[in-house]
Amino acid sequence: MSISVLFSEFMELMNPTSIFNAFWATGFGIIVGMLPGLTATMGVALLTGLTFRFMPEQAMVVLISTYVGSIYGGSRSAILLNIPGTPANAATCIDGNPLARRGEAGYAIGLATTSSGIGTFFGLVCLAVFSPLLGKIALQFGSWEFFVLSIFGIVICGNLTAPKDPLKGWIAGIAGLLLSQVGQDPIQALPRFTFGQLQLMGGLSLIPVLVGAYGVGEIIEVMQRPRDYTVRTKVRQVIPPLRDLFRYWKTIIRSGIIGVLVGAIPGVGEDTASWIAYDTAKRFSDHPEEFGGSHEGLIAAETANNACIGGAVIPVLTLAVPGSAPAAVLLAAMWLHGIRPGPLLPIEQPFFIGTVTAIFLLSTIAMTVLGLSLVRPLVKVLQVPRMILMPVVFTLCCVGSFAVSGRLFDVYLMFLFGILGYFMRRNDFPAAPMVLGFILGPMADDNFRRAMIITGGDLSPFFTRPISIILWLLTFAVILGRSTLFRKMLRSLKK
Amino acid sequence: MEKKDLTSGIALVLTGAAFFAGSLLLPWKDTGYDWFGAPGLVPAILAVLIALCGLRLVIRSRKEPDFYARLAAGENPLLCPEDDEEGSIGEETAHPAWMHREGPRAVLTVALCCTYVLLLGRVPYMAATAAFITGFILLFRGAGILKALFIGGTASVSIWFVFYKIFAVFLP
Repeated sequence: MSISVLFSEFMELMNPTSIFNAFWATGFGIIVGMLPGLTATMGVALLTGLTFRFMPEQAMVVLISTYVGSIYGGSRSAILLNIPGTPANAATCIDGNPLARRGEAGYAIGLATTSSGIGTFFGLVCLAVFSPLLGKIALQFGSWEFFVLSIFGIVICGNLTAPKDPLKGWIAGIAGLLLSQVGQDPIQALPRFTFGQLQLMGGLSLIPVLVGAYGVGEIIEVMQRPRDYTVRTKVRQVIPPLRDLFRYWKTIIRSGIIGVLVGAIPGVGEDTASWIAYDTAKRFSDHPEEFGGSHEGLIAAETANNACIGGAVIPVLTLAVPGSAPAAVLLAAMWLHGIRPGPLLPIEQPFFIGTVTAIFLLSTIAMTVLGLSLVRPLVKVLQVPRMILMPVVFTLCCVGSFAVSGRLFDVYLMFLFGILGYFMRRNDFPAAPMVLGFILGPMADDNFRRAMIITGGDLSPFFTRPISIILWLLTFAVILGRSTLFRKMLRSLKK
Repeated sequence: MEKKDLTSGIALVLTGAAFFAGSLLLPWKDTGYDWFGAPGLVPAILAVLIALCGLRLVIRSRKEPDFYARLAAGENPLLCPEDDEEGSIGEETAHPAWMHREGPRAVLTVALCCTYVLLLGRVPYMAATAAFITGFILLFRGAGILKALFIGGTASVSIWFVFYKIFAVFLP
């Protein structure tokens, strides 16, 4: 994509409506991210329903700004409370909170803000450069590759989002695939698992499922904790000197690259990116002993999780496969607004990638401005008791689920998925693979059967086409790598 | 954890079996394609996979206690706010005993949310929302009656105004 296209798209966005939407949505995202228990996925899912009547471009401005704001916002509670606002900020706690306890809360917030800004900018540059390239490769994909890609996504997402017990991640992914089979099948339009219910003919609606699994599940979990949180740290200097950032330029670039690469892997997301970047920064640091209260660790984690956003949107635009859970909601929102991401996107809507990149730039500016200027007012948000906040959030979940189709059935569905999401959390099943499976399910089903019909039931092309071979090899490597039996075999071979 | 996994595993095996049976009931012959174009093919494969994974969970929970010991040893204390040393977590000692237990709090939250969901469409939106928010705050001892009523009323009117009047979103 040329700089001139990006510049013209950005200038088109420079109108009062877009700027206003970008700023309020980023502010909303920061607040959602800050509040422990409310995640980026929930924030984006909530606004997807609520912006249903917006023009597509403005809806994208709101949703992308919320996404960027909430991933950044989680660093506030990580620094001030030692509780990550979103899972993406868990690594930020390690250095951010000790810095706050040393009286450097404002400075840590400033570092987190500038690092997040740089990370998002790095992500959007990669989005602009690599989306068209990956788009060209995606044009080579047939039904076989799309099916294998969906399996690869589920396996790798399950593996990385449940690192202690990948089996549960894979189960969640398969459950998502299975739930997506409810409704009319994509080839012959025959009803499946609908029990004669008209409401189920169109399948389980994506937004209620997402809002339920992430939003309601989180509300129940937050409310069941017997104790509430309070901020006891004072915030002073906020804007960090530029020389402090330049000192860690290698860490920033390395973490940005890690963020984008992890983001581009289907379904993995910002939390994994920040942990990997943090760990890598520690390994390469000249002062690893300072980690646990170091500026470098904080910069690494915050750069990576925000760079991951751009990375996660690359496969959304080129393959219609989400790179993270919030990106999955973004993909659903694009579908709702009549935008069809995938290999044909550059042909059908040649400037859309440019528009998305320009929106990222606008939200990066909004995030940095709001992040550095509204430090003290935003700390006040953390002081709102959860018993006041959570019922309001629940009412918004109901409105968001209802708004898309205007059916009360979707509100009931959201509530049921909320309970399911809660039990999944209690039993250590991650929600991200389920969401990814739910999104990829129709693609997997449609492409598998289409491929089988083309070849007359011959499975061999799934294993002989070059891209499929690479994806299968990666998938099996991930599964074997986590197999206890395989590890034992490797150990005995070494001995 | 072993017990939880055993229960989850059994539930998954049963779910897989139910979906598999449901897939077999779908048309397999008269679809215009052969069996490989049948609408039940992919659900059947997925149902078998989920049942197998459930079975693996059941077997693991019964036969591999080492796995759970390793899992417990590797837990990250950073993500457990209860372990915070400097007390950045406020105590709620003035509340009744049930409010200090997770189970009753979760049940109350689910019950309140369920009531609200059932009220929607049957009671005017603003009244249902104001009653839900006020009730929620009062039952969880978030504020006194007047403050709770004020918050409930203000929130419900604000939501109605912002979403119905400004965003033109339909409300339940």
